[in-house]
Amino acid sequence: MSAFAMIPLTLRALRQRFLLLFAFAGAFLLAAFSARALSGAGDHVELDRIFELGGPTLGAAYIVIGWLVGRFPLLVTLVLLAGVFSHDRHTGTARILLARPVSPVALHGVRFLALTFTAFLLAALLLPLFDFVMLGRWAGPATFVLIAANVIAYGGLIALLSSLTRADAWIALLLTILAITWNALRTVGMLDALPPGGRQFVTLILPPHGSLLALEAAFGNLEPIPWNAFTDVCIYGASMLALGLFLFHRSEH
Amino acid sequence: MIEFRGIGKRYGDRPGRRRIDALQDVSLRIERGETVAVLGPNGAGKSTLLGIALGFLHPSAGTVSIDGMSPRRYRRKRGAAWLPERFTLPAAWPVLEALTALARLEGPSAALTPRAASDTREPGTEPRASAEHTRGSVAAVGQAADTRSREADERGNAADARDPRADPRELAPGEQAPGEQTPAGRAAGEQAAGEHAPSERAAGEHTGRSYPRERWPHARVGGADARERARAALERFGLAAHAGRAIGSLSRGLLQRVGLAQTMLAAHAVAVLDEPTEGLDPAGRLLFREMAAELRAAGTTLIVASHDLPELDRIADRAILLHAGRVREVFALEAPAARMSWILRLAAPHPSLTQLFPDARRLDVDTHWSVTCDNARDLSHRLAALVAAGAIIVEVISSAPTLEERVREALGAPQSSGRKDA
Repeated sequence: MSAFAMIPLTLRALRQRFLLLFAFAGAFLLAAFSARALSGAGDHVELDRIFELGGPTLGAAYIVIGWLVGRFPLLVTLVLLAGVFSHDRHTGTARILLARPVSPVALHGVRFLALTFTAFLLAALLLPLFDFVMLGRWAGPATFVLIAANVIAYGGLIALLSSLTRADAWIALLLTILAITWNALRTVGMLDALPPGGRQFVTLILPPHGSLLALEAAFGNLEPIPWNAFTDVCIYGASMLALGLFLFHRSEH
Repeated sequence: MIEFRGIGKRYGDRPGRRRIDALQDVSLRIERGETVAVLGPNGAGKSTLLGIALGFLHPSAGTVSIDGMSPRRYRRKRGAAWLPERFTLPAAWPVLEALTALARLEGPSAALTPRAASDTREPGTEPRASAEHTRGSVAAVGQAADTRSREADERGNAADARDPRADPRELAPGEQAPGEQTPAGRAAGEQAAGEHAPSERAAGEHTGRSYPRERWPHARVGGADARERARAALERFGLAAHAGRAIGSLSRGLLQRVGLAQTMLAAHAVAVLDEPTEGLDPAGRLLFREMAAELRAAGTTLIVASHDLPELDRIADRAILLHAGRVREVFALEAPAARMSWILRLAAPHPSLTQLFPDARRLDVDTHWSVTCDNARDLSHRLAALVAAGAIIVEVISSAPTLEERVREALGAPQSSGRKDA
């Protein structure tokens, strides 16, 4: 398909973003290696030892780093897919491409797939490496399922937002924070007073944080992968992508 | 054929935004193979009209069709050549790679060569200037094929190199064409162009350039073919030395050349160009003129929006003047070869002049005369006889008003004091 011809150029145009992500990943790995060195011998990092050495400040720093690295699939997806449709439209490149006899859905669908796959690869390289340094073992294929779930959910969301606005990644980030908050409130029953229909609607619209948490918990506890949660995430991502491509196809360029 | 019916376009049609009616009730019919100039002041709606023509923008009212299809459907099926105003591509893309990728996007429908093969027009005839809005007489445009003349061809050889249909590679260093060419040369050039009518020669062939349109068709566009096509386009627009550079490092003029090159990666039946000469140097303008002549020869329907009125005067069959979103005037542009009124300036008075031009009218001095002829061929015959009789012709200029003068008149702007040669 001729739409694949644009993939190398698409990735090339994101060179600076790749450098940024590599720098970020490098910082995480450096932190992991330094933690390993600080905690002394053994095949994994002992957080107690870190606390002994640097007090609560250092311990908290490493906990935050650990939490952040768990968000790396989200981060890499936001960075790489920001402007996936909207940037071309804003700069006029979309018109130059779409003047050719090519389907806009194919052209932008292929671009979306290329970018999500690249985001998956980057995260799939960093996360196991980080786990290996910090924990001394590989967490198993659940790592990849967790990464794929993040990339699919947030990639689809950015695709939809990108068909509407240039601030796609920022709005996706905002919705992510909202989803985390919403899910926490819902879990503890603080939203029970709201009408069930409205509550379900908001839950449906926001990123599927509950399902992502289920996958993360299974990953952290080395439990079997909850495939129903993964399916929910896939349905959400695919719906968002389909709606995004439809709106992009219909909209002015 | 491209047809606009009652097109309106309103921006800011949301609460809290200022409404702007960019276009109002625009109806036009552009025939296949016609070259139409769209002109008007800033904000007149030119770019909006072009965006609507290819379906990039949705009209707020009315409909557009290209060969009976919606513009979007047409684009999807056949593609079109599109040059936006202030062309650019992502800064990190290398020029050759970018054009290669765009050539690959052209796909198999690159074979849909405009009308070189499927032209239903009679040889030698030109597109009709149709027109709900055309005021005044419909010009017999581009009668080059009818007015071919060997004598004029020979006479016009010197000026031929300056003709839009001539090859700019033949220009001597430092020689500048625009505005300097004489109508005699221009008329002869038109006649020379008539030798290259689409029915007689393949598109691109008349320039002598290696523009392998006939080699592209029918096969799927592979990487090697696309790269070859991209290289040919870059070479054609003098960009071979810049092939490895990133788009972001190019000057405005070079970028514009890349923009023109990307429109010629495939043979399309429809080409829409917004400000194609913006930022181009004189050599670039000559390349554009050659490109426009080639598209015309291939039967491509060409819509060009520009503020460069002399350039539009050279290439277009018809000019549509937009003002405040409405069609203010449609000018049928007379091909130089079809012009009938001329001003002759001789080195010295000569008695044969009034014999050869019985209706000649003396202007301010004995050496300046206003004459009329049937067409450029007739003019050339009579001039040849005048030269044979010993007269020395210093200058031949058309007395027809230029597009610029007609636009000024239509907009009510004051005429410039000095009139340039046609």
